[in-house]
Amino acid sequence: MDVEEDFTAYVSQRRLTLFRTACLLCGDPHQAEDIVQDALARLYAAWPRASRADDIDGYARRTIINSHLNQVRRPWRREHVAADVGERPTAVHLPTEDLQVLWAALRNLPPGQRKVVILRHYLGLSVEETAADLGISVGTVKSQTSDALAALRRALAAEFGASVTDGEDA
Amino acid sequence: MSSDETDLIERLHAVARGFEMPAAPPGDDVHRGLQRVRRTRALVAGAAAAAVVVVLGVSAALGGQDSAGSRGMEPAERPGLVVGAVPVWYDARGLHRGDVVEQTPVDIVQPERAVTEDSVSPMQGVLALVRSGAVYLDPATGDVWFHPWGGHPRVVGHDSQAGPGGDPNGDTAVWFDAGLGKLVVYDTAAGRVISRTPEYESVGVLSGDHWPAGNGFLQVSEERVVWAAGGTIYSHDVRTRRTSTIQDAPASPYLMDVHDQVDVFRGNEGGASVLVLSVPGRAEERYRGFEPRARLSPSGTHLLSVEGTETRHAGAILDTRTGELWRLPNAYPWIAWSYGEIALVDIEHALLACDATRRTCRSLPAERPFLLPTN
Repeated sequence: MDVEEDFTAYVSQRRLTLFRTACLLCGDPHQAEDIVQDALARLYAAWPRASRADDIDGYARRTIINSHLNQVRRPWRREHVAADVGERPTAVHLPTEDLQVLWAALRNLPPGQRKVVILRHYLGLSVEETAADLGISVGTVKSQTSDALAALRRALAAEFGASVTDGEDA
Repeated sequence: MSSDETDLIERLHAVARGFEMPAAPPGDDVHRGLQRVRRTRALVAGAAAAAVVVVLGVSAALGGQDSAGSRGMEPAERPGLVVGAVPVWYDARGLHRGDVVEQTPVDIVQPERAVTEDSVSPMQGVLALVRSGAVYLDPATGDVWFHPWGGHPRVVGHDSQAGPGGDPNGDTAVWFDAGLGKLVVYDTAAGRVISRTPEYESVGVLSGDHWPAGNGFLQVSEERVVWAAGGTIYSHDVRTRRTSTIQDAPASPYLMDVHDQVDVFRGNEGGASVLVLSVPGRAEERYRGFEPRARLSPSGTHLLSVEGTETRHAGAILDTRTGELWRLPNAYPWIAWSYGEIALVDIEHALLACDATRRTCRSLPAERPFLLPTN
């Protein structure tokens, strides 16, 4: 299978997950599309090496994280990429109020907490994998995850009056 | 995991499912990837063409414009004082080199604008070392200053967003001039710009656990400049002005630091981070229990990192020649290298200077907030 076929096959399977990860990371579906496009362009350029890696998904995931960081640090690049994309509407369908509250609470989390909770509980990474991806300590992953989950529980409790109990991070 | 937490996580997944991905025209991702590959090749070719111009002598005339007298900067004063293996840091009292304190013309720390891993800029401050002085960023203006030890500091660059890097063993300082979109290589001894080269991607801002706010310059020498930007690692040959990509996008193992003869990678074994040491003539060495960042000393003979285990979350220094490990005091640290084999270790209530060759630490009279070098 040649490079283009191989890469295209991988992207067709993973693009949705990468897009949703980027949405959760940056809080903006339009920016998320920029992030995914930037990350996939990098991934394509590195495909001969990336495709031989033991963990292509990890490689792609870290590329998304770093593309997100690039977008945050260089807003003028984001404008350039958006100009290339043209007008393509994206949508968020959150049919119930609790999901809308949770989405707002997630966007209000400090970015560090948001990243760890997405990697740990959306992508299902271990504490060690999360620490390695983000370049932070295991202890920081645990504390930020705990703080993030507590904040999200409080947000839901404030809206719906549910009882809040402190769960233990698995 | 509690049922509340399970329910919360299920809702998180439901939120994610609510995002509709826009339809991507077939081949778009490949097309963008090809564009990126072509842009990088064109950039390298352009830098090579610039090198040819230098050989033909055209830039000899431009070189006059690159002296320290251009762009409103003061004429160079030839630096002469080279200090030994002393700790260097900056605090409210000034720029410390061992027991000597020198005043800086601008505040190089802005604690009220301290950077976190999530902030863009401005930065708290960036301080780097060269053989005969320090180079630092003025966070308020983006100016780069060269501070010769015992001499008169002067502005040598502008529009630096991530701050300068320097060679603690030599005279080369580097920074990215955002206004020009170029990597600037500067000779602090001669007081002149060696080159200004357009680059596709400037050095990244770095911050996070244990390491002071700084930038991604991994190595600065009179031969080459190596920097990290968003997971990609670039190497610039100072003589030919060619830049190559030595690691494109995050990879495992991921190159964390380089020295002339030593490379340090971050690897992964069963989900746990490992340090991988690569030294010519020796088998690859892997060290477990370390967190995923580490920096080599100016000589490359020692590696500074943080152990993260069940019983220790503290600094450690590895002798890259022997594999011997020296464990630093068991407290959460912020760490950096100074000159020689002197590591600066900020723990709780003290800033320590730890000599990796003697395996001794002493407390420094530092006042918070302070800035450690980013070398």
